[in-house]
Amino acid sequence: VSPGGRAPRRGWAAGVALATVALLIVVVIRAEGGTPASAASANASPAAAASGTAEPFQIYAAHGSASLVPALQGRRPLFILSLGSDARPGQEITRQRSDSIHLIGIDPATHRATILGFPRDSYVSIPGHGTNKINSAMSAGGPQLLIDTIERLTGIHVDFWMLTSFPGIVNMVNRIGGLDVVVPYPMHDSFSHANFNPGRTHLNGKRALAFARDRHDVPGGDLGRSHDQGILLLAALAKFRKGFSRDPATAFTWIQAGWNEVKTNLPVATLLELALTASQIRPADVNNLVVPASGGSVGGLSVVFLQSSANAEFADMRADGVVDHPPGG
Amino acid sequence: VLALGLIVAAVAVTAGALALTRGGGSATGANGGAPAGEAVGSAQSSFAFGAPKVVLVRISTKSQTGDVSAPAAQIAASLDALYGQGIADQARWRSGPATNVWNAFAPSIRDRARADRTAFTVGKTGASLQSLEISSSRLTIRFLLDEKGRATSAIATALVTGAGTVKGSGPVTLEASGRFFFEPVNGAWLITGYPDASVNVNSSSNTGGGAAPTSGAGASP
Repeated sequence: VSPGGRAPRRGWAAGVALATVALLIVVVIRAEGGTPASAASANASPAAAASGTAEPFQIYAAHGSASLVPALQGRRPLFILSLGSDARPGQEITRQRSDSIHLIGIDPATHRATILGFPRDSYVSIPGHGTNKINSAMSAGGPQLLIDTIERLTGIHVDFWMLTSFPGIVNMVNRIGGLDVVVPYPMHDSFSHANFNPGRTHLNGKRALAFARDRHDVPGGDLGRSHDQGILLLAALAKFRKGFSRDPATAFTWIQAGWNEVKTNLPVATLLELALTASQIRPADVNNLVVPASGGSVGGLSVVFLQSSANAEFADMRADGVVDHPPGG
Repeated sequence: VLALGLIVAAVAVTAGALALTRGGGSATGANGGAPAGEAVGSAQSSFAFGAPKVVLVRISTKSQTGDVSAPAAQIAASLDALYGQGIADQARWRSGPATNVWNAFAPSIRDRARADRTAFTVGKTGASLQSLEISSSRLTIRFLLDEKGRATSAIATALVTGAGTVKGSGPVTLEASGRFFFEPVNGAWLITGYPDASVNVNSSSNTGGGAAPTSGAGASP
């Protein structure tokens, strides 16, 4: 307040102004449907506003979240034939024997799947080529003849196929940073260069190939090897899911890592859709099976005969992509 | 005259108070991480992520490098609208985004996206949100290119952060983030999935006046 007798006048003016402000606030707030009390306590809790007492701010926390992965929809199961060629450098991989044969069935409705391995020496009917080892189908007629063989054998329509090679496996596994597997038994084989003790271990591309190729000291020989190849597929699924949960762009990098190493009839868009579907499938919900079979010989040729129980397994898988009741299981 | 002047000034101050009482915030936009400084009370959101960071993932070493500027612009526009109307635009805090904003989602997931709206909007916080200042925003778009260099799909990663006030709770921070799959659907780049999307509003660490923490006071949209 300045001296000189003007203070009372300014005080009056200020009083009028404040009264006007207060009046306007009341009018405005009423027009907004609020109350003077709520305006006065805009930064206090509702309880404080109601009681007219001052309370400290309340901690506020609101959270909204959602997740929707565009996985495959529908009730029809999807079947993919995963193949490994034994082509050597310089050979066309589609015209060599397929030493790794896995039919992967996916049930989009339940996000369950089955990996069904076919022993490469399975002695089966090959359309137009009599009866022979199943791995000879691809060398005789490319992936399509092998598909025809599988379809006739199982009654299952193969939707897509993917084919890779020895160096393809090595490169793919290296590009995704290796795979972690639990080695089920001692594997020390000079032919495949497998040299593993039982237990969890990390595989780079070269070691992964050795793990997948070893059959000489594996229980069941070719059947055990087929199961081990399924273990690799499951390890890849686990790793993909882990990466995808951190960053969905993992789907892109994995597709990129694999594209140059595989031949497939899968369009890119479908491949992405499959990858996204895979992200929704827990490894625990995947059966890793091998078609029941037993060793024998035909004309001095060492072969594998599929057991009759295989037919029930095919029928089971045909229904929804999943083998719910594996023979002996 | 002096009194009148003061009254006019008081009216002006009150008008400002009115804007805040109505839930009007301060700036409602950001451009390339900087607040746009839009006028208080504007009904139009000027929010934009600005130029997105674009990453090309070529499916093959032999892939050509295609031009993704058009799909990138379309994707950015969709997310500008979604986060603009869902988060930044005060005029939409209560009502939510306009109907056409949901058209950014593929028809097959549009209803689901609406049901998940609290993952893209201020949700129920909008009823008590008084102000919001967008402090940063980022948008990254990764395109998967086929062998001919055509974009086949994209993953957009969006992040918006801000600070504001909530009635009854004082200062809050907001963080909205989302990862979206985009694919061409009938000629338009639409959202076909969102592996994770969330909006979090929390009291600032310095809740005014040394407030004692009170659990369970927040609203959960």
